[in-house]
Amino acid sequence: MIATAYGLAFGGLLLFGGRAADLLGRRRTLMAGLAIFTAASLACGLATSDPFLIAARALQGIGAAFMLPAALSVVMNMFGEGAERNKALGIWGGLGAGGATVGLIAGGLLTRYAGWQYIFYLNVPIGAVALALVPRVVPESRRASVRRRFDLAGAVTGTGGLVLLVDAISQAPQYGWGATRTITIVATAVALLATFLAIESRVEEPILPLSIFRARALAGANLAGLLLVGSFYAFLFVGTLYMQEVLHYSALQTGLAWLVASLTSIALAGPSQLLVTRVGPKIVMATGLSLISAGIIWATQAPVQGHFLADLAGPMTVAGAGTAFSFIPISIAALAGIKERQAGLASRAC
Amino acid sequence: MNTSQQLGGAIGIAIASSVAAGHTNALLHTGSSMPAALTGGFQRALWVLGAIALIALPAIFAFIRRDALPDTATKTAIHEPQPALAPAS
Repeated sequence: MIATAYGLAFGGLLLFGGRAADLLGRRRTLMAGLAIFTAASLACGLATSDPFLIAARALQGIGAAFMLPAALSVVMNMFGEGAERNKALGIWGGLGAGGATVGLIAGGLLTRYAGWQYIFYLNVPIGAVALALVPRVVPESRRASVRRRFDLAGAVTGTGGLVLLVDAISQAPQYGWGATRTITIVATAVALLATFLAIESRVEEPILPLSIFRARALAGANLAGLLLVGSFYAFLFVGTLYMQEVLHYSALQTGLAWLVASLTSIALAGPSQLLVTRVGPKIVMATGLSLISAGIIWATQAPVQGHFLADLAGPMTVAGAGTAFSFIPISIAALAGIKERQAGLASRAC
Repeated sequence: MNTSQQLGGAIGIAIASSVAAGHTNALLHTGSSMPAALTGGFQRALWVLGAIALIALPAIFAFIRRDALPDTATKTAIHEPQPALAPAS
C-alpha cells in the first residue's frame, strides 16, 4: 500500500487537477500543487508509522496531481505542435530520466548515510525554491468565460473505485481470490466505476470527457501509455525487490544497478524525438514497447544466485532503451490529443 | 494521458505483487527455500509484465491509423521554411 498510495492518489485526481488548471489558471494550480507536495514531503520524512506514511504519500500524490497537468499545459502553450514541441518533449523526457538517475544515486546515498527520511526532506528546499520562482517565470492564464464547476461526484466515485480495485488485487493472495472480502471489494469497485461512467456521460463539465475515447489515436495512445507504465514501473518494483531480497543489494547498489537503464534512456532521448518527427510516433512507440517486453522477459531468466553483469545489465539496458522510444512518442501523441480536448472545451464555452 | 499512466503504474504494481506473492507462497508450501521461492515468484510476475507490454502492440496498430499522428510532425517540417518567405510577400 505504501508503494501504491502515491500512484493511486495521483492517478485518481489527475483529471481533477487538469480541470483545475484549465478553470482556475495554470499558475495558481501549479503553485497550489507545489505547496501541497512540499508539505506532504515533509510529513513523509516525519512519519513514524505505516498508516501515517501512506497518508502522507497519498497527499504527495494529490499535490503532484495538481502540479503536473499545470506544468504540462505551460509547456504545451509555449511550443506549437510539431518538430518544436517534439524537441521540447524530448528534452522533458531526457530531464525526467536524468532526474530519475540523480534520484537513484542520491536516494541510495541518503538512505545509506542519513536515513530514508532525507529522500523526502530533499523535496522541501527544492519545492520552496520552485514556489518562489513560479510567479516570476510562469504567466497566469484564466479562462473567464468558462463557468467554474467541479465534478466532485465524478472525482469521488472514480478515485474510490480505482483505490478499491487496486486494494482488492494486491490483497487477494493473502485472503484468496474467492474470499468474501475480495469479492465484496471488487463488486463495490465495479459499482463505483459504473457510477463514475454514468456521471461522466451526464454532467456538463465532466473530469473525464468520454468523447476523448472517440478519437481513436488518442484512445490508442492512452491505452499504450497505461500498458507501458503498468509493465515498466512494475518491472522497476519487482527488479528492486529481487535485488534487495534475493541478492541482498543495499539501496545504493540497487540505485547504481538501475543506472544502466536510466543512462540508456537519456542517451536515446534525442534520437527518439528525431525519429518521431521523421517516421511518426506509431512505429517508434511499437519499437519501444517491444524492447521493454523483451527486456522484462529476458529478466525472467535471472536465477537465485544472480550476478549483475551476467543476469541484469542486459535486460535493464534493453528495457531502458525501450522507455526512451515509448514515453516520448506517447507524450507527443497525448499532447496532440490534449489540444483537441481544449479546443472542444473552448468551443463549448462560446 | 498521465492519468492512465499513473493508474497503469498502480495497477501494474498491484498485479505484479499479487502474482509474485501468490507464487512465492505456493513454492514455500511445496518446500522451496525462501530465496528460491522469492525468485520463482518474481520470475512469474515478470512473465506477466512482459506480456502486458506486448498487449500494447495490437492496441497501437489497431487504434492509431498510419496517417493520424505522423501527419502533425511532417506537416510542421514542411511548413518550416514559410516564415522566411512570409515577409517577402
